[in-house]
Amino acid sequence: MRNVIFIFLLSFSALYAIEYNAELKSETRIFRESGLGSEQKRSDSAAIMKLELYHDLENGLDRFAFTPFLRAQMNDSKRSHFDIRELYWERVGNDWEIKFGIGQEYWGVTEFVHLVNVINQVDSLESVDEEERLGEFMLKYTRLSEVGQFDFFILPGFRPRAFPGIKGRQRTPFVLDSNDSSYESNHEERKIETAFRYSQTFDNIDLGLSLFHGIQRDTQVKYNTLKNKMVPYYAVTTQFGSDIQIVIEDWLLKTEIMTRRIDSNFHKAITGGFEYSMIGIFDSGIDLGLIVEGSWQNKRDRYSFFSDEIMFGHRLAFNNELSSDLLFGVIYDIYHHSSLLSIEASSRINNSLKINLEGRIYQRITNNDPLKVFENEDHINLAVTWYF
Amino acid sequence: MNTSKIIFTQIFIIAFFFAVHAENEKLPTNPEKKGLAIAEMANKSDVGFENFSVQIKMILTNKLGKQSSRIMKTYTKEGVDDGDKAIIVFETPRDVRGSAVLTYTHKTKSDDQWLYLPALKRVKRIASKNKSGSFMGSEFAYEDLASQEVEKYTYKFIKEEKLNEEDCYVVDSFPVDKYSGYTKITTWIHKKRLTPEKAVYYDRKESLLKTLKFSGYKQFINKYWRASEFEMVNHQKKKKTVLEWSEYKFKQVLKDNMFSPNGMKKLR
Repeated sequence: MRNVIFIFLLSFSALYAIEYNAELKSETRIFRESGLGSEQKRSDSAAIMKLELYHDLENGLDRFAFTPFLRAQMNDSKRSHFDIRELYWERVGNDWEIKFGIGQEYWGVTEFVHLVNVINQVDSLESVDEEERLGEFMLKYTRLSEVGQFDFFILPGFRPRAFPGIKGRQRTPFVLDSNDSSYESNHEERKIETAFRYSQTFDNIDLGLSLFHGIQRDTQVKYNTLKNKMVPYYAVTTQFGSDIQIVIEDWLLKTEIMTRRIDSNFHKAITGGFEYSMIGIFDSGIDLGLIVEGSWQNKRDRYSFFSDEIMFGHRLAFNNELSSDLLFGVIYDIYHHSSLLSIEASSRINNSLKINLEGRIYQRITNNDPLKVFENEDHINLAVTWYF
Repeated sequence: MNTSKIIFTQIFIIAFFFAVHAENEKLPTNPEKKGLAIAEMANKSDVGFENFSVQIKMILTNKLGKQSSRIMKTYTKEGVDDGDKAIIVFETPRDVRGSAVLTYTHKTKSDDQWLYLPALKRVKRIASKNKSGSFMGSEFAYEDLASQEVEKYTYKFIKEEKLNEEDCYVVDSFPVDKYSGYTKITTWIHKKRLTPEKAVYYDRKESLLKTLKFSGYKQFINKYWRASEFEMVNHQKKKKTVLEWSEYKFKQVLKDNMFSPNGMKKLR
């Protein structure tokens, strides 16, 4: 009997040879000043784990993937969270693909503001810059043809954003609770959403057109008389997006346009700019990347921190064995004249360790600026990541 | 061995000698035309491989002799009317694992290039007019690793010379692209195999920059010669990078869509 089990286990592991990638990150953040209340501390630390498991079947068609994610935050229990970034089955044919389960989908071309990237909800507990996304349950069908790529999505469950707790830094003065989330749809978060995207490369032009009907990803904040507090609110929207990118020598010209009908209003937004790369500046091996983008929208929300702004980014890549690089960014609000400066340095320590140091400074914030709540949130963040 | 077999072998050897000899006889005398003819001959000898994949270990040595390494896999698809398409997928260092670079080489216009960032699930276009930049901190530039299309250079035959006991053509090539990091590359080409044995690179100021040595040639499916070691020495920076190529696989069944910005996301 023991032999049978042994043989079974052996053949099982051989049949299901699962490959993995894992990363474990420690993060320490120190703020220059005290926060909004006495519950908040001047420093915080966290441990973050991401595991990627995947298995490809011998037939070369099917893939199974599972990517759990975990953050354990020391001071703010609300920021501690677990998420399944991916848990899907995917089959890839010659000119078609199908994906079922929890997945991640990235749309768009710009670097600072992501207007068309609508499938996955923002993981607002991870960072304020909206780069990290929650897993989204989907049925996706892709058709590949000479005239372009067509993606069709059915998204059966909406995920509201989560917010920091009373002890958390970088939050609104009132604490929002995702359990209070209210919806326009009668089906609330269980509304079935649909999306479609067409994308194609025409020589040096990349074009993407997308349509989404479902619940808005960004949060509106409303006063709820019954609960006597501010609550997150999500409306039903139909959104059209387009993203265009043109490559001309060392230049990338990019734009993203979004229009949506929301709460019986038309909301329009555009972002775009350029990216320019200089290889080997001053006869050194250092490369410089330059990004300038702007963004504008017709609707001004009291609680959206950035709306009309100009953004500058510089990236210095040292091209050394450690792949060290230095990022410098400025976001300038045209309307309020406030700005956010950020500087980020990262380098490899060895083949499996990486270090990242980031500083953020909020400047010239006036009283009527939505960013006012971030006035005392200047901080530095040190992260060490172990990959195995 | 019976007599007829010996005779057959001898006839074969003689015929082969004449064939090679005749090929050489046909070469034009004008140095520019002869250089181009050799490049075209070398290119023709590699036609029909369809696709190949290879495992690459890159070993970087800095000025102080300290070494670090990285591992990647490349897939190359032969271009019929235009240049080749190639994907490089990184395995180590672990922080870039799963990242991939896709390049469409074009014979006359500038290449197209995309980068896949697995953490964001994002494919990013690279404005890649200038390909003289370092590849992953190594002494190889992107342009050294790109598929070498005949049209990308003009040529000049210099001389014939023995290198490591082997007869070679010595040909200078001059990049057509004004964004190239080089003004001249001198290449020693093996006369029989028509493979590069050594290349010397001169920078934009026309001074000696790098030397690349190819070694460990093996022939695959009786036709295609591939080196197993590439050693690049940067004379100005006093640094060295060695590429070890192994596990060559030719003519695999690959999906049509693999060499596309969408397809590259699925490689690991």
